Amino acid sequence: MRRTLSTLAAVAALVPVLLVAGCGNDNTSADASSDSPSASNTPSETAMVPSSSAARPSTVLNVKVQGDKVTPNGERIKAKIGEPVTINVNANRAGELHVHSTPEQELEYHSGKTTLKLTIDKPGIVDIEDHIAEVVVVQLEVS
Amino acid sequence: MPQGMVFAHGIGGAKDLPIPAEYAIAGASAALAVSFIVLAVAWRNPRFDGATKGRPVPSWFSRIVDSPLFAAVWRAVGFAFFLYVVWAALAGPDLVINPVFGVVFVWLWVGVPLVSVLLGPVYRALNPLRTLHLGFAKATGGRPDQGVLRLPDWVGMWPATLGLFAFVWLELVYPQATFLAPVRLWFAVYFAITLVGAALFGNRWFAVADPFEVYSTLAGHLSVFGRRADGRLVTRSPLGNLDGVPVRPGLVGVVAVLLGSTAFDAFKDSTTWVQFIQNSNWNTEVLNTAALLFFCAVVGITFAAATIATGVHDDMSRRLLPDRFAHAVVPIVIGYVVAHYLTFFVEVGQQTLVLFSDPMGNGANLLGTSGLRVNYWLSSHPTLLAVIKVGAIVTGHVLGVIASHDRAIRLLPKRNQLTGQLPLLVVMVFYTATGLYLLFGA
Repeated sequence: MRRTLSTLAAVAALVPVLLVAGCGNDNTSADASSDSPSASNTPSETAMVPSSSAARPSTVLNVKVQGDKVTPNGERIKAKIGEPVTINVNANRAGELHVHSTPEQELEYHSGKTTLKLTIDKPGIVDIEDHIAEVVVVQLEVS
Repeated sequence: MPQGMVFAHGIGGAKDLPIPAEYAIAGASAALAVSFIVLAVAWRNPRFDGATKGRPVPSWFSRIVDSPLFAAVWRAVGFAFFLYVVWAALAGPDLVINPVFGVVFVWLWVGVPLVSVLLGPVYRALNPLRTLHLGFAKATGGRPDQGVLRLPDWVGMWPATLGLFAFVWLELVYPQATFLAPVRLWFAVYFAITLVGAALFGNRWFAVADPFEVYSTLAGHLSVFGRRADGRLVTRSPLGNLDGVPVRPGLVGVVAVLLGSTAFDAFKDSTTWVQFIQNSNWNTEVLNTAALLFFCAVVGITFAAATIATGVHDDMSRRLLPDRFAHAVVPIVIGYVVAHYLTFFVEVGQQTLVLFSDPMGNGANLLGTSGLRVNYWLSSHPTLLAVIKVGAIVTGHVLGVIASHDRAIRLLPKRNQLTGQLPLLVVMVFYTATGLYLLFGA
């Protein structure tokens, strides 16, 4: 029993070493592409809206609603903690966006053009759903 | 206070950020390296034996734990809790502020297995349906452990596999799972099947058919508290304890549903799947059901194939191998659950505690918890969270590899002991890499 435990302890001790080794190797190769050390190369950089915060003061999101058809369709868009996201809704009907933040928020829009502001104060992935069409419009990646 | 939370989206608000890619890569490399180190340097004679090994606990401790009073106290606690939740489910408001949803999807589904990892099979001690069964047996002059029929051996844990699948389907696929009527219906059917089964087959039905008890008992095998074959309460290493998981037909199905459904839950929030579902003309529930089944089936089939792909002793059937190795997936399941549900458990779990004092939604503070505030410290520290997640997945993987190594050298002929483990090692690395990929990409 004691030998089992000591073997386990040895294996357990190896894990962090390997983790650090893995990190080290990866950082050297990733240095060129990313300048911030964390969470910058997530897979979905296909945001419809330029999300580079250097160019714009905040994230702007353009939403088009035609009946049950809503664009964008579930794309992931980056936003910063505590910085307002501007949502420009262009709709042919009135409706409501459900923001699955903690706590939840609801934003109403009317037929025609509506400009909404949204601020998320905690890091995480926040789904924004259109209530009537029951679709996820975007997933805000707030960090 | 949580409010305005009426939405068709399950409970819980924001989800965790993806982990940084370099963490996922580091975790996967560590898992791969440790796997082969275990294969190369670990012991060549089996170490673990759940039937005979373990240090007996002090006699005062076993006198307390094995006393009828101890059992009665926990049964009473479980039953009082059950009555309170049933009251909330039948008379409380049909809103997400009803604590029933948090009790079922957070405390019962995530909390009970995690507590079991620390303390052993707690749900068995609390299980209100066991108490009801005991009551029926006493009232009719029967014995709770005796049914009127003998459960055929081949049934094994397949009833629990079906029950677990039914529950994850309710939680992950059914869009109305945060309304009372479907939750009540699900639990009514579950109560009926479990109680009728217990009446027909006796007490042992709970251990093979009650999904929550089966899950808790499996997780409890990762605690330090176990029982030897002679019934003695012992303490032993989690791996030694894990060896004591009873091998029954269908155990592989149970672990496949637990692992596959957790992976599906992460996958279903990925932009890939969300966009695919929203672009498709197919019914969302049909697609989600198919994907959930697919994830569970992939785990079950790859695991069965990997365990069968070895030479065996002449007198052993290969078909028995998947269930004999399935206990090794339990630590991988718990690693996945910690990685995917830790923030959900900690934060929505606290929110449930706040709501728990007001089951009727009328502003009452029955248990004094209404005034508590949810602490969001954990989700505000995404880097720490990412380290915990990768650590949990890699730890589960390492424990799973060691458990399957020990079982392989016990079961397989000498010449197949190393080569026989390779396919299993490959699928375990596949589960772990997938788990890490889902943490980073979904």
